[in-house]
Amino acid sequence: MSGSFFGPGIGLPDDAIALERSSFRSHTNNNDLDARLETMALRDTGEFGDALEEEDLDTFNDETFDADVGEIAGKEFDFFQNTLDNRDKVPQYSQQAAYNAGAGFSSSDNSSGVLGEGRVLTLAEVEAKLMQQNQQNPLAMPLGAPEQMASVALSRRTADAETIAKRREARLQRQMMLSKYDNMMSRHDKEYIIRIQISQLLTDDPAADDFYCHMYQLSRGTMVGPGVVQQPATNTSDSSVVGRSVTPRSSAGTPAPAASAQGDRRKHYLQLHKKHHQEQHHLQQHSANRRPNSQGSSGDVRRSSSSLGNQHHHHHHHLGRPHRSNTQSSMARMQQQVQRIVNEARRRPKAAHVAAEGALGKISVNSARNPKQVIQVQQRSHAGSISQADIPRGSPMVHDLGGIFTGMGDARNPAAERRKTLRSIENVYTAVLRLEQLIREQARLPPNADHPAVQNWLTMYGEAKERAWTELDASQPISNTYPHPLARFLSFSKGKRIIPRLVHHLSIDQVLALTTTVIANFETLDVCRFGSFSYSVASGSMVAARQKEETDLFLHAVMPPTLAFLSETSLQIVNGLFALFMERNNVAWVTRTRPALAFLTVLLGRSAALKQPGAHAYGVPVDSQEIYQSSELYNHLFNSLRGNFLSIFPPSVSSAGHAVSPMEDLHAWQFLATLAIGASVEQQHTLVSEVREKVLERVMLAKSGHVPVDIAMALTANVNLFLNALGLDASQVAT
Amino acid sequence: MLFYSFFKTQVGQQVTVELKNDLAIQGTLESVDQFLNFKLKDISVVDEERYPHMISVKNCFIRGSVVRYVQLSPPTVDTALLQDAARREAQSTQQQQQQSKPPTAATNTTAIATATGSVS
Repeated sequence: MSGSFFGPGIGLPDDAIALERSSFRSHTNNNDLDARLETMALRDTGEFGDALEEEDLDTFNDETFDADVGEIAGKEFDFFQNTLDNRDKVPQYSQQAAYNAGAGFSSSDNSSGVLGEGRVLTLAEVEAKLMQQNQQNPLAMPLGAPEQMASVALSRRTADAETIAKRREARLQRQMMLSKYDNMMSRHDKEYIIRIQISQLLTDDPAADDFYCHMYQLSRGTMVGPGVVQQPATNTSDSSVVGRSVTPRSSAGTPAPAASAQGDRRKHYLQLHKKHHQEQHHLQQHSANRRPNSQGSSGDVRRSSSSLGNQHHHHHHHLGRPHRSNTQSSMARMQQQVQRIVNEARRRPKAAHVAAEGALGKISVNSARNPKQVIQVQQRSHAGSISQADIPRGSPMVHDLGGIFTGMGDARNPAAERRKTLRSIENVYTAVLRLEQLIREQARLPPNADHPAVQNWLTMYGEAKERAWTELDASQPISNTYPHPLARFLSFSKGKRIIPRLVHHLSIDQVLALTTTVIANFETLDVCRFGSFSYSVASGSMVAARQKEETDLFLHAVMPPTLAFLSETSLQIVNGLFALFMERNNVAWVTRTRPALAFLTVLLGRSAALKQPGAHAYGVPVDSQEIYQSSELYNHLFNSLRGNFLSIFPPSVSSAGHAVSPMEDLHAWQFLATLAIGASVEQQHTLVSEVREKVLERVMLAKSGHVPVDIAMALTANVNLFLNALGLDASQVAT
Repeated sequence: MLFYSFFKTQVGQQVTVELKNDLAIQGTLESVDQFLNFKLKDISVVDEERYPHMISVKNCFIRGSVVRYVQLSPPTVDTALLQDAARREAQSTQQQQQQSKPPTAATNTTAIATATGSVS
């Protein structure tokens, strides 16, 4: 309505209707809270408060041109016709025209502003005018506006004192007429309505219902307003609760979340459901009042957010608080009522369906929580049992025939297998969510260990962990079905994503079992089966992109927990895993993949570190037997890779002809470097002779100047990883 | 309440709401309620020329049932958390269904029993 479409300098709206409305609003001396606030908001920091004070603008009763109530009531009032009829009533404002002209409207032609013509335009004409003016004067407005506006306003003020008085008289009259029927609803009535509306919103489980919002704000940190100090932790589980003060206007939209703990459920309810408009206004008013107060109150500084519960809860923190104003006390009353509603709701939960005794069928009660379904989805009650029906069919066959049909486990009914795996992934997710929820509640438990609540918590936690672990099905490294259930689990990206979250809760033994299983079935993992760098797949295609994504996800999600575990175990376990890896997987083939290289690097590195004199893991000194074993393993690895060292590098030019970035072989260089550390002289010779070409190629590339300096440096650094391990350096390479 | 919870986190962000009548409004989300009605602040219509009547409108209230799409900005959304929230929501609706099913089944059978009892 403010016409800022044309630029910030001009305060007057362009159409008659909005003009009248805004000026009318600015003149009302409304005691009603809502309207006052709306006025405040609409006035928009009083940007054009001065201009609107002018009586000249305030002549008409909005769209009806001072028509009496008698004229309007009783029949269908034709606004359009009425407007047309009363066009002439609009006086010619020479000042207005001057203003409009001065503001940049071109006065030469007939487009001298809406009212300057002395006509009232219909809506269509107004729009047409606006479009016209928009095209003609896109930039002319803001430039000359401020000074001209000031001069016009000045001239306005010196208008007739008589006219001013007359206008004021009329204004007061109108205002009285309008407010004759105010206060129809008593305070009790209003609060009654509010109570009804809020009771629809209340939830008895804010942690579940408002989960996303709550966790999001916890994780992102929250907006902290000025002058707000952290709330004293009131039996909350999240020590990261920061006092949140959103600006008053947006606080109405964003109920400031409280702590997550159930103990603060009340607060939570109240904060969740502050959407009623009146309440918003109350709260805005309230928070607007509170800010200055809260700065001064000693001890406890309030959050100036719209949280009724806070005030109630921290009532005793009111030190030296001045006598409560009207709104504050009404707020307190309201919040007590909401309290009552909350308790009611908790006692008597409403069902989604109502079925009377003896009636055939049920009536569904639609609320915000269970809305009317536009699409009716029939719940297939046997959806879960499809996979169960397959199990007795599938596995007895496999068990009976030993390993003959191992390749068939997947092919027998791939769809069912897939669904089964997806089902188990979801079960793991459910269990992990439960675990995380329990962890959040853990902080609230009483400190003494034999309290029944603690026992309860422990049992629940253990149960959930058990469930997750059994669903994961990683305890048997070797299984009858091919591929291993864990490998199938990890073939989905959401399966990979849940692993780090789950590992967080697992015991060391379980992590060991998981790692063992992964290693034992490494070949069958999807990231390995992608082939090293997809020779057959064009490098820019969707499939390649997806493969790369999955590999990255694997490296970032699944590997770190296992690698972390590896880097902390004893040499015995490392040897065992190493042996298992080489035994179960075709090393030469698997090393073309990045995950395998990463694994081997860590394994080698760990065993090398443990072989150092004086190294020990878990306080147990390393056995010489183990050292011998690890050397054996190393040699075995070397021999199996002999002749294949070049293949671990990604192709420099992929099949599609695009040059692959020179930075992709970092992992290969790392692996070679780790390998070189433990190599004997003869082995080192072999290494060097095999990869010499590659080294030369890289160094040449770095020195040639075809690539930018930082990439060249990175290239050299990579090659140096390997060369330094041998005691050489890239600079020694003769070009 | 998942969408309501989600949009609460979007308050203050720039969104573009496309309505079922093809009007697309871009603005700052000011507030949202349980019916997913939106209040937008400082709006601008995406295709200005077709809707000249919206030129002077600064704030608007959009009824939730007329919204077709809401376009958001990706960095403001935490998809992993959203997945978790959706899972929890699914769990809780499942629980609700299970809770409401058995009682009604029981009443139906008793109703049929009494009907047949009275007939015979």
